[in-house]
Amino acid sequence: MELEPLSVKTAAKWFKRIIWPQIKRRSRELLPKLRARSKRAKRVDVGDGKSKIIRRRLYLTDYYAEFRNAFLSLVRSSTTGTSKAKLQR
Amino acid sequence: MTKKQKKRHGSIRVPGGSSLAASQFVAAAFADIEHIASKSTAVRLKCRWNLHSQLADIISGLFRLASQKKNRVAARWATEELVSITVSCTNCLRQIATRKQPNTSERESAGAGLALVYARLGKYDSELTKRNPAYCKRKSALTKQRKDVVANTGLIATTVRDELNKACKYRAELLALRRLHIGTKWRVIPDTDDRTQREKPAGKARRWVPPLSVSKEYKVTHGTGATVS
Repeated sequence: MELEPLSVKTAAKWFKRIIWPQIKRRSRELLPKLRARSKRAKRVDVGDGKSKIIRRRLYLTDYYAEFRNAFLSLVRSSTTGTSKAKLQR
Repeated sequence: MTKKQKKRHGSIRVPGGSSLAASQFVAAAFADIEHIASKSTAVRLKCRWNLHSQLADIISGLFRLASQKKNRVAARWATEELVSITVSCTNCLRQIATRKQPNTSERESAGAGLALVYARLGKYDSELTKRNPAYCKRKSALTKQRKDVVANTGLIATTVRDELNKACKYRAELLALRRLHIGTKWRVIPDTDDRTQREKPAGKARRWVPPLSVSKEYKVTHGTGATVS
């Protein structure tokens, strides 16, 4: 990949090529934490007025959009806006 | 204008006693300092010193009043007075410091004073944030920081921020390496150290370290057949 500087234009590319592989490398550490905060559950009627909660198994790719949105908003807020809203690194 | 109206306009009557007429003293002192032609240097210096001591006395008195625990109302009033003095002083200094004039001594001193205030507040910022919730709340409201975007403390936001910082660091390092014309292809450099040629002792030790004292029992044979003790 060309070493383009990070900007709003190149943020999507940066995420796809650089940030996401790095996050994937940390999946063992991150997945349990992400699963713990997940609300993806479905209540199913079993019968006799009883219900059961079914949870689907989650993978890191389920959170791809959330990570991407967070990254893009971070870049947007760090490169544009007032000086007070700049990213404090 | 009637007599009553004149009285009201001139001074504010406070129930409970007469004022100390401090305003007259202050006005006279300022007039003395300002008029260079009418007053001598010694008089002007004395007036300046008097005003300075009065101001210092007022501030120290307010602080004493704000620190005491007997009269809560007075303490609150004193604190509010200190706040108003600080805010107005900072505003005045800012106006002096940002004047469109070439660098004058008053502008320089105002700038230096503001820098001092900024640095001191910055030093105690974290402590104030921890201990005083009003400071924290007011500060965030005034600076209008969008915490959800800038400093979101969620897992996803922090992860993304960490990875971005890491990526930026890697990129800077890689650019520096490219500038030095160092390629990314790694090659193995043959190790010429004697230790690799020695026989490693059996065991589960990860790293083999030679014994500190080499006795006669410990002998290492080189490829040539010579024995070294």
